[in-house]
Amino acid sequence: MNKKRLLLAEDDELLASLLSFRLNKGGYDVLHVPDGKRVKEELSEDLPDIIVSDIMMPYFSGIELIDYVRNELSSKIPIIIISSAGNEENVLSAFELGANDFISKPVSPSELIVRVARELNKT
Amino acid sequence: MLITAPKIHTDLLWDLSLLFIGIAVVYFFAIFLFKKRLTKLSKKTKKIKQRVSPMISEFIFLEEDASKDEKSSYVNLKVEIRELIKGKFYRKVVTEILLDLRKDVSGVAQKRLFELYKDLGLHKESYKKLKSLRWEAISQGIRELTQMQVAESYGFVTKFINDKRPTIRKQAEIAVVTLKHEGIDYFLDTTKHRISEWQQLKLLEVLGGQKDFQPPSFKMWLTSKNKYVVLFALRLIKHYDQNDASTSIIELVKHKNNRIKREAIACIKLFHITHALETLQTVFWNCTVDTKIAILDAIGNLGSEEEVAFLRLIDNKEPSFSVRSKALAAINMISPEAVLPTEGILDTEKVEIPKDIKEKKKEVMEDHNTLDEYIEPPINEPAPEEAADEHLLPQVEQASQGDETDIIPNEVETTTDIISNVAIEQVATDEDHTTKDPIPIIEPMKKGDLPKDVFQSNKNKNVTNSEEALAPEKTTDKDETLSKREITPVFSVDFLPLIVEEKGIGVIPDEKEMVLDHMQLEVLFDEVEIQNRVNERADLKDTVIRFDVTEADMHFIPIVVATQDEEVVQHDRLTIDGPGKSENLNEIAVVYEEIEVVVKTEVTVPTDPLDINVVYEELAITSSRNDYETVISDTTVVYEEITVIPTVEGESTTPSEIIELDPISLDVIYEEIQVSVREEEKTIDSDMESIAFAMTVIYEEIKGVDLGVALSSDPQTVLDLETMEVSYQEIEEAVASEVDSVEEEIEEQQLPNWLLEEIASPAKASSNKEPIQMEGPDWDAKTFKMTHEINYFLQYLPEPKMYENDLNNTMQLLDDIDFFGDEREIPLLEELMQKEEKEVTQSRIKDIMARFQGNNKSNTDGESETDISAQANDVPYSIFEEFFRHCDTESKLILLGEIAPVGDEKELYFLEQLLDDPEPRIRDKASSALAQLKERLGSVTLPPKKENNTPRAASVPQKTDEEYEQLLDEMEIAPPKESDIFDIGFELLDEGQSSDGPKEVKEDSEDTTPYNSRLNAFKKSRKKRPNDDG
Repeated sequence: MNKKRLLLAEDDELLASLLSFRLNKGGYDVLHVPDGKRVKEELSEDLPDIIVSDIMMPYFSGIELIDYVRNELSSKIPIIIISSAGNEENVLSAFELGANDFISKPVSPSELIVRVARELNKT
Repeated sequence: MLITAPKIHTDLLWDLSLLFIGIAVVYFFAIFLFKKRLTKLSKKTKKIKQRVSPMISEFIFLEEDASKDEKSSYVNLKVEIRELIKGKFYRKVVTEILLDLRKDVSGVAQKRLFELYKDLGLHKESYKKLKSLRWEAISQGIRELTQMQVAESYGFVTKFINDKRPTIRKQAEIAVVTLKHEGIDYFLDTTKHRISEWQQLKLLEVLGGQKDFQPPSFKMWLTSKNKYVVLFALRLIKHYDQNDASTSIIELVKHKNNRIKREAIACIKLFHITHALETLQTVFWNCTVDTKIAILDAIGNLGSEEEVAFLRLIDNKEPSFSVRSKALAAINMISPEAVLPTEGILDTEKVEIPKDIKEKKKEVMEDHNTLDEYIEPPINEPAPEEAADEHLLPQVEQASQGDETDIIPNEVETTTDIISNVAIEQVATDEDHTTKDPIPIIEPMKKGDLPKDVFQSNKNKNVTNSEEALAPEKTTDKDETLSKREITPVFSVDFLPLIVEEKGIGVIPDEKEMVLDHMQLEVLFDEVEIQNRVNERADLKDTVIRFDVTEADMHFIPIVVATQDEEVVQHDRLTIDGPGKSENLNEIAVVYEEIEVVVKTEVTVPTDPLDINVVYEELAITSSRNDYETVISDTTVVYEEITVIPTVEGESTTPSEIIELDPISLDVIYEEIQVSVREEEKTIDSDMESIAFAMTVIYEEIKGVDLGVALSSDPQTVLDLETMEVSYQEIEEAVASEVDSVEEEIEEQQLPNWLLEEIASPAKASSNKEPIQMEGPDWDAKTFKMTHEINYFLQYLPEPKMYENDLNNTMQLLDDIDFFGDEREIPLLEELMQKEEKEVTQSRIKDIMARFQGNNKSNTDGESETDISAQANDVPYSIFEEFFRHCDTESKLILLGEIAPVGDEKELYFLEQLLDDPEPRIRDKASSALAQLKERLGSVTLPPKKENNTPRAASVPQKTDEEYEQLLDEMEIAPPKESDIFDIGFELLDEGQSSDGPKEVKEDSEDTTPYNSRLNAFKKSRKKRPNDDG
């Protein structure tokens, strides 16, 4: 059975490492990308099954990433946004642009696994 | 005089230049090295992080059901990371990683992160930082311990609460509140320093983030000597809605500190403490502007009409503009729109209205005069000039132009009540167009009642209204609409109050003068609808105003009934009459604390006694056995509470009927009923199966609860239960028929075997008792059912086990040994065993011995209290043990530290016990404390450690009498002389034989063996015990 490919866009290396480890353990093939620029490069090459992205990233923010995926790539792959607490405006913008779900920091890795699985089940 | 440049030697200049160049080179080189070092460190850190972070992930996400390889990998990683963190730099980096991750993860991952931090021993590094002399190191240590939730550090952090260095102090405050729920108590109790606003916010945030936090009662700190604590406590009280400290809060309004004062006022406002209004008014004049505004805001929220005068006073006397404005705002909060805007309002007298509009108005007014008398005067927009000159709001205009003294009465009526009075009055005034009868008027207020400003503002209000009405654009644009509205019948605008001039009463005014503009008037009644006013017009000729108000219209008014039960007041109509008194509905002050609606009903109560529900709260049956020949000689049945509730069949009530009282139909609560069954005669059959009982039912207290039953006046129907004597002579065998159904119920309840057996043979059980017969006035056979039921249950009580007299005493002794004794009784029991021949006694002794020796399985599970106490007697008692039960780990560690210098031998055993403690730190500490204590006390041998399941007596070899004597000889100890004390001849009396009668010495008394002496002494003591019922 093929593993679902997950693109993790997170600039915090430690958190990314932790989440990658957990997601890998949860049965996903995780590709970690530390900034928005590289996310675009990766997406232009191949689309993953799901994207988990932080909102605040170097070069391109998570909001721009959603816009890029939905409008330029015209893709409907599920996108889950990771946002800091008290960043509701960005979350609303993300939802308006087509984000599927969001999870706020501090992140519970187990919760993230559940949300990813739920979004993938929807598709 | 010429000024010449100083001569500097060229060499010196070169030297200086070289020096500066050298310094610059060194400086840049140092910077270069420093930067390089930083870069190197950064790279190293990054490298370590990259290496360590997967390990940490592994540690955090290791699951219990992980595979063997994963577990093996986990162990290897742990060993590796432990090796790594031996280096200081590595330790620092790993701590940083964990602290960073703590912020980013939550849930189980975060919890494991905390555990890992402690597991790796990184918290020890933080503890070391606490001992540092540098404030930043201490602060960092506290922060790390706080963030990683090291609750054990609580005791170490608390000492920094009052540190003189503010950074450390603040960090410690947050730590104390974070680490333990009771930390906030400690902090508020202890802190002596200022708590900044920011710190208060931080602490509040910490408290808000704590799970399952039960806030203490913060009113305790309202009495603190630290004003910042008081302030913070007030804020916490407000935050947690703890409105149980109103008196203290009111007292704090008088506080010198303005912030505390304002916070107290905010609490008063929040908790709606209306009885603080007086205090607020008292302290008002000595407050700052901000506090005054806060007070006025509170008064505006909590106040009533009573506070308006105070607010008016402020408006007059207060120099501060802000306070005056707030006072007026407060008046409007209490009484909406009591004060209207006064600043920048145009004078309506000077407004020019176009001529055509003025003419139209005139026409309209003429049309209005031709209207039917039942039609309300039109809503007129008077011509501006004319209105201004002649007719515009006559009473207002006249008042404004005339002497102020004259206008006071009408102008004062600006409050809701007064206006409403006028409103109702105007209904009568309105009738003056036709009746021209004088109409009573409300007594006007005196000028002195309210300050001058009030009049002025009211005057302006009226002017404002008139201005609005006269706005040119309105009159021109909506001309047609207005004409239509002018002829609107009276019914549609009934709710509008009208204003009439006092002077005009009784005098027929000019028609034009009577024109009133409804648009200028305030609407006071939102809900009150007055109907059928047309029909009442004739009544207005009199001085009585009557309103026919239907019940539906007045449903919002509480129903008024007399407090007497016999009076039933019905309100079909609400009639208000009385000249000049209570015409105004709003003047009726109806304040009913409680409205009672009494409905008299007579309820038919069935007289069938079978419908009585008997609730036995408690049924205690005590039997005494003086000897085996007396069987249940005195049985006392105590009913704690018996409630007899009659079952009402349906809801069939016959209100008109008065039903005769059937005593059984009463709801009777028997506070206590004692049914004592006494032996009627001493004629006991040999087989002890037929005993005659006489049952006396004593009703301690009987309460009749009225269920709405009208009691019959016939005294014969009243059952005097106090005097009722019930004697049981016969038990109906019919009881047996009900056994089957009851049996099932009892079996379901898993009753003991003896009871089940008894149930299985009801006939036998019933035959054990004599039939019962009941006697008493008006006693019906059916009413005995209750008693039968009681009897029925009584018969299932266990049959007493009867022993012979001697055997009985022996068994009793064994029972007592069993209950009070321990393994030390084993020798005695063995001796007893040898003496006793009866199988039942031997069996009992064996049981007891088995229990004492720990062979009994039930006793191996848990020691009896006597065993424990016996063991406890041998164990040296340590005071520290008691403390240990009630303190946390940190406190335990502190206590252990104290044991070494102050403890003695008693603590040795206790410390040894602690070596098995589950907490490793306690084990370590106990071990070191034990070593220190031993060293201090020298060579002290510990008391032998007991095995839980090994009774000491069992290990002690039992010695025979011969061996005992031999031992005494060996030890050259003379056996004690036989004391007279133990040489007592025991006399057992037969039942019924008094002590004065002839004494018959039993054989037992002659037996002088130690065993028998003890046994007989025991028997004798039991004999002498009063009220001995086993």
